[in-house]
Amino acid sequence: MADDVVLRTSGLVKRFGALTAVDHLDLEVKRGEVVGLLGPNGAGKSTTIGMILGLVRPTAGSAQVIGKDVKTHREEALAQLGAMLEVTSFYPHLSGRQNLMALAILRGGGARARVDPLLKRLGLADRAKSKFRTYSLGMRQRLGIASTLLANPAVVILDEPGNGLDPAGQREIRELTKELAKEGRGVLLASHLLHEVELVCDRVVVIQKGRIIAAGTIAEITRGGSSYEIVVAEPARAAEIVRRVEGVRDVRLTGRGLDVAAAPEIGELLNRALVDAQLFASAIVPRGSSLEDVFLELTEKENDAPPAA
Amino acid sequence: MLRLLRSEVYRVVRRWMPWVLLLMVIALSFVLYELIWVTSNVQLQALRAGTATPNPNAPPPELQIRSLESAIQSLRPSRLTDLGMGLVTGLGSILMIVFAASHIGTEWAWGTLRTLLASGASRLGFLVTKYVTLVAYAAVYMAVGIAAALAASFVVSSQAGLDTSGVDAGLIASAAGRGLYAFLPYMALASLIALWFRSAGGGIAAGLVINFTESIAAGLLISLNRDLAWIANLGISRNVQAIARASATADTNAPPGAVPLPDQAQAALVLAIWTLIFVTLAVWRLRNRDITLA
Repeated sequence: MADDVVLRTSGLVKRFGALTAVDHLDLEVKRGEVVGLLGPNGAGKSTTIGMILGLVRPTAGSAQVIGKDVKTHREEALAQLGAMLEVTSFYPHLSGRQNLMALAILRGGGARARVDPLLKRLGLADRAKSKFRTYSLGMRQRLGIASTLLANPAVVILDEPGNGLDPAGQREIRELTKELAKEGRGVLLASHLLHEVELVCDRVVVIQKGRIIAAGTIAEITRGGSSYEIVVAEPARAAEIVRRVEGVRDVRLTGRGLDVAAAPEIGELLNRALVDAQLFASAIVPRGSSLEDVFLELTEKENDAPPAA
Repeated sequence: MLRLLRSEVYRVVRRWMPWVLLLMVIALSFVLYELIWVTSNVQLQALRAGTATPNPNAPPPELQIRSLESAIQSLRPSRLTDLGMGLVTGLGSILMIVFAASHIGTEWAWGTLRTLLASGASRLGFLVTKYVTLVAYAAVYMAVGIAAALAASFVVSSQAGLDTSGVDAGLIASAAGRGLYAFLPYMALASLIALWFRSAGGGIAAGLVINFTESIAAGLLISLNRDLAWIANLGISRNVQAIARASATADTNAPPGAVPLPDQAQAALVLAIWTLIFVTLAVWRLRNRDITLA
């Protein structure tokens, strides 16, 4: 439903001279869902977020928050948007609480009343009076997330929230991200921690060189690929046989046999082809592709592609 | 805009720098007054007693005594617009450059400009808020500086047995207003450079260099060719001097033959134009710039 869309970018383009950092990017985040924005370094994730926030001027296209264009209705749009940028930046001479208070005064509304509850929610209450410059990286990230929620926004953008966090900290952020979506907010999560994205996101958008190269649910994205580990006595000959099977994309020799990238559910076909060639596999182990496998495959493929004319 | 201004005030009063600068002008006021009193008095006593070390290049003792007595008289509260104001505005022109550049440049260094803009502040609102707080701070500085200089003047005058009456509040207020006005182009310049190059250090350095070298360049230009004085009069320094001179109670007429400073109206107009140019450039630059990490 169109009303459920809380964040939308339409044909967003950003060019820096000859370099096109973002190329006609269309993106939607709905209420209550977490959308992962994936891409290798320099893919255009932060530039996209910068354009949504009005920090970076789009060359073309627009971004809307709750239907309000960020360019023409900036104040109304940003009132419904909380963003944690890749590098969390606060005033070093102020405490965590004072930093939030300064932003809460700027936000207005009931933001000031949310400062202490947010510090508690993010586990910063004990260090609320410490100067920001004394905070660890994890505390800075948590303060950054707290700042996004001051305005009780409908949309939350988290740019690499797990950066520099230990596994426990990353898990906390994951749980929090899910909570934000459960509260009915739309969350755009830019990350290169694919495991994090896989565990949290309802949908993902993969971008490379500023263009969307894949989009969909995790299941949709990973469905196109799975792999099999085949343990067999004559791996070189087996590889020749397996390569001819329909649906096989790639075959690599391993110490014990083969690693076969293929469409899902063709294990029986692989077994039959080997048996027909008098090769008997001692094991054919199916493995679903992880988001990481697909991401690497997609981005490598894109890198290998010749540049557009 | 009002919320942004309140947030700005909340942040700036919690910085050390503005307080340190105020402490500097308070401390230096007392140091200057005390130093002038002590050194002048010691020399005066020595000259009167005939125990001063003879110096063949020095003017006759009567002249030296008159000069020292005049220096001591300038410590009186009624002469605040000469000595005290000179210190407050002279030091202020440097401190305001430092503060203005830091006030804007650190937002880049700390990355907090992105945080503010992402939290709903507009670019124009950001600049307006910065300028409003800069001018407000300059006014506070001027008030504190004058109060400190006045206090120092009373303390030292009491020590020296000088007349402490005759303080003209209207004259002091007028001088403070002129001093504050003369800060504006330098503050606008330092902010512009800090904003353009995204560096507080750059703004401070460039602001100070221009502050010091422009008056030297103007002097050189006039000494080379008096007919080119009109060019020097289009700069900042000679117009600041013209504004400041109007506040003095002592005889500060230019020596015979010197090229006269611009008149008050012209000086005020030229300084306003420079300020407007710097502010306009800053607004244009910020509005057209992508706020990135790089």
